[in-house]
Amino acid sequence: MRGPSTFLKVMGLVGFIFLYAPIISLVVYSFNESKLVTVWGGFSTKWYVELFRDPQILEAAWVSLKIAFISATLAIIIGTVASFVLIRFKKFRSKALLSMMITAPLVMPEVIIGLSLLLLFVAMENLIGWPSGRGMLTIIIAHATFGSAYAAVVIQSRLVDMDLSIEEAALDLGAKPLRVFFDITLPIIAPALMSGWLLSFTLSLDDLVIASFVSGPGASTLPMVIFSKVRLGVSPDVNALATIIIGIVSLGIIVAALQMNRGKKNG
Amino acid sequence: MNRAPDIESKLPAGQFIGRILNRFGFRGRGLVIAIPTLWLLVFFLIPFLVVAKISLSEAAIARPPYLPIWEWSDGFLSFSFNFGNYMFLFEDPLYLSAYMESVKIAGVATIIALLLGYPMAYLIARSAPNTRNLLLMLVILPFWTSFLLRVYAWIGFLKSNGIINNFLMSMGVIDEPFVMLQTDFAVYVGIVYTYLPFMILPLYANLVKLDPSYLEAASDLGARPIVSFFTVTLPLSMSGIIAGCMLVFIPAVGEFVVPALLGGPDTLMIGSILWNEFFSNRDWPIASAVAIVMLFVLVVPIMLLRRAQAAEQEAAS
Amino acid sequence: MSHENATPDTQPWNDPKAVPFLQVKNVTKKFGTFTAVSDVSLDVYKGEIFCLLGGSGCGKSTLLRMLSGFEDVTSGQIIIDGQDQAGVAPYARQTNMMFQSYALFPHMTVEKNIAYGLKRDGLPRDEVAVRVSEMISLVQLDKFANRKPHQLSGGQQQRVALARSLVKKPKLLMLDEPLGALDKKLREETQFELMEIQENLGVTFVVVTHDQEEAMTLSSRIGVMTDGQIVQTGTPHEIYEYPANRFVADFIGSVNIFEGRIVEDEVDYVVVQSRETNTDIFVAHGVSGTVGQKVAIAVRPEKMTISKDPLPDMRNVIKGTIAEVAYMGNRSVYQVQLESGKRVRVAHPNRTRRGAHTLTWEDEVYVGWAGQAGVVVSQ
Repeated sequence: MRGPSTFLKVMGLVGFIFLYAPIISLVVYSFNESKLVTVWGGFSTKWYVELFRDPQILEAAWVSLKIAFISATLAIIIGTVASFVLIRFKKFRSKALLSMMITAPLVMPEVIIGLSLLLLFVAMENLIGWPSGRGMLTIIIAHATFGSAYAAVVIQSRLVDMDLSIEEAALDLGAKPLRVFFDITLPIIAPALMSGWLLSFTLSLDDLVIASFVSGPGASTLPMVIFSKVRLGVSPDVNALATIIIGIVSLGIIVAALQMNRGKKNG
Repeated sequence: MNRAPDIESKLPAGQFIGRILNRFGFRGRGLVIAIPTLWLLVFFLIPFLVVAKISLSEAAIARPPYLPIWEWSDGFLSFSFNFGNYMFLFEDPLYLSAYMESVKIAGVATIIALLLGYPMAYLIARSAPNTRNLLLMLVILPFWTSFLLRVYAWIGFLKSNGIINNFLMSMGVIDEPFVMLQTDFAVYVGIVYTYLPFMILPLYANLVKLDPSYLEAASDLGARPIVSFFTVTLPLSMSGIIAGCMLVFIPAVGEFVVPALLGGPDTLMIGSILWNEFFSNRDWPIASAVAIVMLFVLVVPIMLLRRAQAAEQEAAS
Repeated sequence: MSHENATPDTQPWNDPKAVPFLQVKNVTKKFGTFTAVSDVSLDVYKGEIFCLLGGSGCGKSTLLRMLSGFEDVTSGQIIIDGQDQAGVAPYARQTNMMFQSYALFPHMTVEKNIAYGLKRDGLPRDEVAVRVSEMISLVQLDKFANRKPHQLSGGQQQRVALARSLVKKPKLLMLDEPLGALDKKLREETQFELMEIQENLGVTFVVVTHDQEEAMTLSSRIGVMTDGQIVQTGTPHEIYEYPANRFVADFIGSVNIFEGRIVEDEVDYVVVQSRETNTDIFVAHGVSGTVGQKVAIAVRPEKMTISKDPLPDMRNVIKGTIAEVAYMGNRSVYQVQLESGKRVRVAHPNRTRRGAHTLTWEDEVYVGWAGQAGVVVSQ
């Protein structure tokens, strides 16, 4: 096969510049002395200092991390069970329904998910008194629900690829179905569980719209705080925050890539 | 057949009980199926019914701010459906034009994303494996960083004293800054930017499976590269194109963050309308009606997406 | 064939008093409207290597999966060692399976793979260790005990899979295309190892294969399957020399088929008139047919003789012209065009170096075979 043509290479270059220019500008201007974000006033780390002095942002970051951790964990449990049921179980009555419900959140506009969950929580509170009020719990439930849809995509594709006879071999050797799941299936799909968890975690950390709908007083997530800040215009400490997030993500991806490379060499 | 009970008695007790349970249709697997099904029923499907219900009720100054649609009075269950919210949506030109505008903006942004994303996906698919993985990672990486912050970054690019205008003016290309922020243009940029990876990934997944010998065969039979692209590559990647387009179009129709940050007062998108009805006007019934109509608008694209994804899955197996 | 003059002890299927170890009784399996296995009955005796032989989609793998419990039977009964297997889950069956893909657990070492089944039986740790190491020695993988499957060659993986399925000393071992993933050379070596191991452990094997050579070498008996049915069961010798019907004759080895009608029907011979030959065909065994009945006669190419001179010793001789010659090294295969237009294949061993060149294209030749060489098969 011949390599890609010049046209493709040029288009690719344009595309990647388009994807990365804003990110790079965020990083560069986070070190800008000037408050005017787009005028270079010399190198400075003062916005980082300011960021860490802002109790509102720190508090929101902590809330967001807690929510993301718990909701991603719930999402991976729901997503794994749903995927396993859909891929491995023979026909059952609610299969089409489950399959629809686990994929639909992927394509549902966030405003609709947010609104519908809020209305549900309000209705439930009136009906059974739970959940009383809205806050972290309701955000966790909302994030776990749409996170499970993303997790399920990743896990399902791994399960489909997995040789069915590996599980059958374990059954054949005397392991009961539950045992097979924990001994064989889980370890084999572990990488997919990890990436599904990270995906749900990131989506939760990132979500503004749904959290805005279902949160209540006292539970402001990081995106909610950022949004109220940037709505008023550019603020350099947000750049600093963005740079930190980008740094962590890049580091994570590099570590993951190295890990995968090592795995390949061993294999 | 005299032996049958004899065999039965030889079975381990647990197995025997299991067999009886099976006979009544109960299995451990029923429990396993119930976990995700119940969760999603309660937290995904039922909420839509609640939205539909509230869209039929009347707004009121109360907690919650709407009147119930059924009531027990004198031992009778009386319903009071209120289609007024829907009537209102169709009478007030604001809502209709917001729906039209959202579909238009989402549609145009989808086409731009396709024109930009297809060559990128094709480039990645045709690169050597090592380069391929690197490029793929570069496409996915922005997805892992905050979407809100990436949209925010465009403010610095597009505003009047922003990076683009500063650059163009210092080059002497223009004297007056372009007004880009708070226009539809900025919304297009924001949407394409946000959803480009959703376009590239399904296209890539499709194109990487394309057997290069098809193109070699076309070329061998006398097709020039551009001809073989339009007669072989493009038709074969059609389900990938549809999947990618719908993955961009559907969320773009309901987009809220991009128009809120980059759009202007004239930018009318239905996501923002819903947000405002809910948060500013506290009119929950109208917000619900807006959501239900949006769902109807999205039914066809969602069906298209499902079909395309099914076709992709079939091609994979 | 070693089975020729065997006592009933080594040929339990000929002993009316012998009790089959595995009984398959009128088993049918339907997937929706598709019938994968249709009314199959089968007896396998202790210590046998029984091969289910057939092309892809003939139902042999489905039958195997029913024996191991991965598929339920639609109707019929499977009895192993006197126990009805209906409703017995795979993990509760005292049978084991060696999978076509080997299905080795990728995240476990060779040792752990082999130990897995014993641990499920709750055996004490030291006993597990002893039996695993015995098994590892038996399949000669001592050096590789701590490797993971992806660090092994195809042949080594195959041994691990075999060891893992044998270590529990199953009553019945199912092998699904056990040698299918190996290359030809390795396959031939492994065949004999497999037989040796089976003989030493005395485990009954049921092997599924599409490879007729593999089936012929390995098995005590073969069941030939097509379209979900077993069309013939017999020793390799019986299957090859006395195919019950045209499908079996065709499927195993190559064969020339002549169609015709019975003109003479005696106890110890029949004579068949065929339009495809100019002479009547003499077959030296009786059939349960009547004069005038349509039959087919199968003659293996290597049982025919080819010569430029007439063949007075042969019971059946036909004239023809050589149309094609294929030189195969140890033998040459000739396609001879008969006067009727029919082509027959004749295999001729190349005993001398110049043998291959004595006959060539366009030569007028005589093709002959003895009365015992042909066999009447049903359509």
